Amino acid sequence: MAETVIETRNLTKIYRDFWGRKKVRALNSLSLDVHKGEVFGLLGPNGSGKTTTLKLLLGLLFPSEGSISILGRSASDVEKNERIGYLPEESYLYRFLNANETLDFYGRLFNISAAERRDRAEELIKMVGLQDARRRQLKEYSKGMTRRIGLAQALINNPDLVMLDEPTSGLDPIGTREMKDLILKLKDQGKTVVMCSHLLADVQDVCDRIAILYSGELKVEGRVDDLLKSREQTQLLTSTLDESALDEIKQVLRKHNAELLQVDQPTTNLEELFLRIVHESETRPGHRVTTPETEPQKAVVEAGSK
Amino acid sequence: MDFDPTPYPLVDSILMWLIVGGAIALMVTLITVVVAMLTGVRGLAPRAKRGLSDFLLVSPRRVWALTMLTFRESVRRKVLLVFVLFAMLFMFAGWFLSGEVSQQGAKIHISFVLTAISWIVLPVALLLSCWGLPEDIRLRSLHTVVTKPARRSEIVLGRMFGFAMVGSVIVAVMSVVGYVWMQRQSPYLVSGVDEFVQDGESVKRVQFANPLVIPQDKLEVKVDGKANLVESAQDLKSKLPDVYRLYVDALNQAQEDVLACRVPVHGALIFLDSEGKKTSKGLNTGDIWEFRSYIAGNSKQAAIWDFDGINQEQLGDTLRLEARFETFRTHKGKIDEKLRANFILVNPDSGLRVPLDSFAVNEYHDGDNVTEVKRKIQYFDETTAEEKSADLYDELVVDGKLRVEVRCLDSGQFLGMARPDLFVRAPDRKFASGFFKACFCIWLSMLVVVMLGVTGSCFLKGPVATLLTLVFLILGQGLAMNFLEKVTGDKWKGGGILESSVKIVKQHSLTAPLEESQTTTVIKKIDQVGSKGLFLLRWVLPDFRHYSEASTWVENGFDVQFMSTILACIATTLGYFLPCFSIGYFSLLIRELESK
Amino acid sequence: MNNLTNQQRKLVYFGGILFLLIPIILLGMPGTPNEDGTISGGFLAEIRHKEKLGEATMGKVDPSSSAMNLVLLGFRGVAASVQNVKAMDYFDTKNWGKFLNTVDSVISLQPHYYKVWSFQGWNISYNVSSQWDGVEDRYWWVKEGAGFLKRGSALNEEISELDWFSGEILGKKIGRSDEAKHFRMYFNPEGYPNVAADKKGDPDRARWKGGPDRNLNPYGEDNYLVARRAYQSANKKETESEFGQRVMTRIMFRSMAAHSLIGMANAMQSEGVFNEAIARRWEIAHDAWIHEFGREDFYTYGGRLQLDMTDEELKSVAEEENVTLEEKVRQMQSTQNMVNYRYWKTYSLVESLPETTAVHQDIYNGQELTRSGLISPDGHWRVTDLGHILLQNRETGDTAPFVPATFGLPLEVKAAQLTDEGSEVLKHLRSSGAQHIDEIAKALGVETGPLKQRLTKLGEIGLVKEVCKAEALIESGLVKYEKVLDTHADIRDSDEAVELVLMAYLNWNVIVDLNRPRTDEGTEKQKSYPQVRPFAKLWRDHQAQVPMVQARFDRANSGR
Repeated sequence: MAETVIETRNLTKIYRDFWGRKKVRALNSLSLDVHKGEVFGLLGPNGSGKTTTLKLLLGLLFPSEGSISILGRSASDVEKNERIGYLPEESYLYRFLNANETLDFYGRLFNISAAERRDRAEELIKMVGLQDARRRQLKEYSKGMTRRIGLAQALINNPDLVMLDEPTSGLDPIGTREMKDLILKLKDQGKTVVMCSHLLADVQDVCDRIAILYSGELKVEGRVDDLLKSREQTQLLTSTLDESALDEIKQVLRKHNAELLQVDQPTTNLEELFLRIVHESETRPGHRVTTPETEPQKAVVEAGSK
Repeated sequence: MDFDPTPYPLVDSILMWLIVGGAIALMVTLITVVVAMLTGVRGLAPRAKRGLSDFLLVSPRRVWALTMLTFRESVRRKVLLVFVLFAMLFMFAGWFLSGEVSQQGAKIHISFVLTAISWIVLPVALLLSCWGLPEDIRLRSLHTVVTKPARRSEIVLGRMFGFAMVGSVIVAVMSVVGYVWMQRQSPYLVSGVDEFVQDGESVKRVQFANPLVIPQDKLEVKVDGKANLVESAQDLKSKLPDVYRLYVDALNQAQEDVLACRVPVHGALIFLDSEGKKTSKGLNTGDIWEFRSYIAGNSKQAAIWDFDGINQEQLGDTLRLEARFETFRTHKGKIDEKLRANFILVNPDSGLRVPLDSFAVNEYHDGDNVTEVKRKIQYFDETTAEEKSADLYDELVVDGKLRVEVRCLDSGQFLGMARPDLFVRAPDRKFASGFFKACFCIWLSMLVVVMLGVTGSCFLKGPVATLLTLVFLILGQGLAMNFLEKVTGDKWKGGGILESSVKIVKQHSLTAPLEESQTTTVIKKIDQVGSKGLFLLRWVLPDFRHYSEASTWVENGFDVQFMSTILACIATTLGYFLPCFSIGYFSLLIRELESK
Repeated sequence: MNNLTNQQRKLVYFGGILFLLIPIILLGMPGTPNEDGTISGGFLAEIRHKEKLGEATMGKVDPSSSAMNLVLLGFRGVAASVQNVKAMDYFDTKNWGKFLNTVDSVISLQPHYYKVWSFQGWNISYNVSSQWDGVEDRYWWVKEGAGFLKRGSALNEEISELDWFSGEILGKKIGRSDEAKHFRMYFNPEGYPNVAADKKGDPDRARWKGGPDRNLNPYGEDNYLVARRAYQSANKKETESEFGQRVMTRIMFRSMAAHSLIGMANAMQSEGVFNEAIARRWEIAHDAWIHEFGREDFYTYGGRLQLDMTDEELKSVAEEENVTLEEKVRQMQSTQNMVNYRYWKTYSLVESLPETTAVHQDIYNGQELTRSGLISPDGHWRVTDLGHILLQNRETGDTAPFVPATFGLPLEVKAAQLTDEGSEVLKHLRSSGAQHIDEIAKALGVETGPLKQRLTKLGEIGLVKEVCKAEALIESGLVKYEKVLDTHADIRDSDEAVELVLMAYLNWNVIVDLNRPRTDEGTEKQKSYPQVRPFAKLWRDHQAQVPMVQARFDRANSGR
């Protein structure tokens, strides 16, 4: 059993007004676990309590009831932050600093040597692609740039646990792709990633386990594959089939009491198309891009039982 | 100078600090516990416990990072544009200040510079420190910091140090600029030169016309009675270099006189009444301001000062006694002659009395009443009617102690003095010494404002924190503090708050006691609590009078005294550090940053 | 513009601001009032002042005053009140520099609140000046108050009160205070040709080089003449402005212009001016009193009248106004009584007569001789007893016999001027220690009287002769005065006449006391003075007033 990085038990948050009366029950008895090395997604519609959960985990809010344990310590323990990185939803950074100074500042808050700090700052700036803008104050950055510098500061300390709040919202498809690649890379490095989002497709692509919240209550928790798997159907991905092959398959299926539901050519998704076009535009500017009709065809066969 | 510089009671102050601090800490803890129990916020106890341990674990590296962040933020917010305001003030200062070249001239200039610095840096420090944290919280940039391993204590300290740094830069630059400006502004009042100059073998007598005012006029220089008209200072330099040297010396001396920085050694004062018995105060001649009391002329009445710390290495062979006496005439006497007084130096052990020559009292002409006592004193002994001589340090000063008796000589006239009115004038220091000490005290007052501002902003929003700190600042000034001191003192008559209100409404006399009854007892009990509250308030408020005292020293041509003023300023500022830091830290700790 | 970088654009803006500052300064610089009431400042300020459109209020506000921020926020009135309270606080704690500065700031905040001007002007000249000990310092503050009112008058040209108080200070304060002699010499050095240069002329020698303060006294006149001009200006404003004056009864207000000439003549006389100049001054005063003041139209409750109207004129006016002559005469009398019109008319006339001048001259010289005769040249010793030649130290009150050594250095110098006889006497005095001049005379084998005369050459003991001469002068003066008062009986019982006689008597009594032979030490012999003296009855009748006059006499004598 993998080590539990985050554990909450009956976590409740009730917002009270000045006089102590209850206003809003933002979170109701939430109990979930996050294991080491996995990408955990927190989903839910707006106002479901995702951000509240994240803030409770970070110590920005105090729980009304229940307990939290992160990396074995409580949420208000400041020392645990050495190993945590946090990318906020809006980039809540100091707008009067430039990129260099931002990373330097946040880096100083950690227990890392000056040399290491410098190296990592260099590395991160290159990684997020902000070399040209490193000397400009953050207030002049576009949204994507602020998101990128936010990401850089979240990783400055090479954290074991990374918390991302709506990492892909507001990004263009390229940025989204890069973000998703990065998340997967982090996972490869053995880090744990917790992200909350309402962009389902992105979550589906990267997360291992998800939890779905609604009105402050946990509705579903589990592995993505397990949750999404359709029990009723089987999917086969083959090389291109001709008509006679398809007929034979239909017969085999009928013998096993299964039905051929759908025969189609697999589509790539729009994201792939978009990225390919962008890539080709960069490498061969001025040319129109070819369609995938020349690509080797594959067939998708979906079969299901009657 | 209208105050009596008493040495700062350090031990008493520390004791009071502990008592008041302890009382407030106790109150706050009680209130917090009660509130916590009522509102049912869980986890307060473990948080508070952790808070106590975190209190002392502060990482200098992180504090420094936050300090630099704060500094950069202020600079990039164009706070230093305040220098422009400062520059404008000085450019147009000439329009505002009276152009009179008078004895009081330098005083006005010094007062202007010090007040300008103080009035510019304090609002800036106030606004910065009261808005820094709240803005941070509002923009949520603090949240990012909080999710890093930065303790709340480091955040508070970082902010305090950062704003203090900004304030320090402002004070430093302004004080240097102000100093330079003042040197150039001071009017030159030279009271003529009539001296003998060595010219090789012969000695010439050189006289300048009396006086020189800002050396742009033609100089008429008399050498041995022969007049030379000189076009300018340069001309003088080329024609009569010896005389030029005299001229420069005279100018420097004049400037030193105008921008004086005297170092007084004060003594203890007692009086002798008309029977020769010791009393603590002299007579009152009807002055509404009871700072000074008087002795009668040509009588047994005298004022006796006991000085300590008179040593030859520090003061040299010649002792300078400077006086600032007041006079009061019961009859006009000789109108164009000043009243006369004389000093009698007394050996405190052997009782040897050495009367010095009498001198004329030049009332309100500060700096003009200096008596120089040479080491070998020739005097006339009244008892044996013969001329004698005495050595100052061998026969009169005992272990650094010296007694000086002052008598007024004119019958029917009175001489007025307070303790600081006679002092031994140690060698003068440079004006820069006093001036920059006053700027140091302004810097210290800025630190107090920053600390209060940051603390307030930890649990209040920006505007409210500003108001709170402003209230502290205003109530700490002389007017309110004097009133509070009177109200919480022993001599206050007329009862407490409730009793006074009752008397006002019922139109009773304010000093007559209320008639005895149940209500009166209740009222008195309530008032006792109220007066304890006022007492607490008085000691919680920062006493800004100490800081303005520093400026008063310099304006009056003295060096700022350490034991009475600078020590007070330092102690006050330091005394605020721990309470402000703890309050700020704990309020930030238990505060939910995300709370909407 | 578009191609410049951010920095360059900022520089351009900055340069533009600096450039615009030039016309702003030229146009907008606040005006600072000059000493003579004009304004120097920017173009607009000068026009504003010339056309009386407004005032430069920021001119003299001390930016270090804590009220500055109130001003900037619009609370000008509150700021002025606060400053006023502070000013009185500084006054109480004798912080003179800050006091003056704060008062200036009150004025610049509300220059049209004239009551502040007039109160502080008076306050400075009377109260602050009396707090200072040195007479030059007092004079400075009296001047400061007068200058203050002058500035106020320049900014409030409708207010006659300010000029009037100016006149009070320049006239009465300078001319009648205890320090009057010094003040008058400081104010108008040219009027004292015989006085040493270091005792006269404005004490600020740097600025005025021994002359008068040209700001207050541009033509170098007597202070009463300058005061008169101020009073005349006040009178003019009082008639021309609709504001009038609220200081006092109109008739008294308007009398001061002419009255200051009387004051001037009195002052000059008390300083010992007895030539034709003084008669001329009394004539001028008399003229002004009856022709300038006496011929002014006053409208009382009962109609129009002029204080110097004859009966015929009164009759015609009465007819015009339909009142009886008696009624009119009654009105006239009561109005005249308000300013003592008839008295001053007679007084100035009598004083202008040569007989009266002679009286004053005799009595003045008698007093001077008494005083100089009584005091040793170095000023420290006073002779209390001519017989024993007993000396009293004027400072400590100790008495000492006349021992030449006690006179100190001057005696040695004087010894060089002694005659042979004098030196011999001196030698003998030194060796014998004899105290009574009779003993000395006996020792030298001469008569006391002639010895006294010879000793006059010593200088220090020239006392005797002078004092006797003084007595004669006083007597002759009083005799002459008796004749004058016989002719002009209406001033016989006036205050001035009584005072003159009483002072002369006191002086006379002092001389008699000194000449009295001493019997033994310390016993107070019954003092008896000559029974037959001019004005003996007046002396007896006014014994009640003697203590007050005695005080003035002592003050006058000790002030030398």
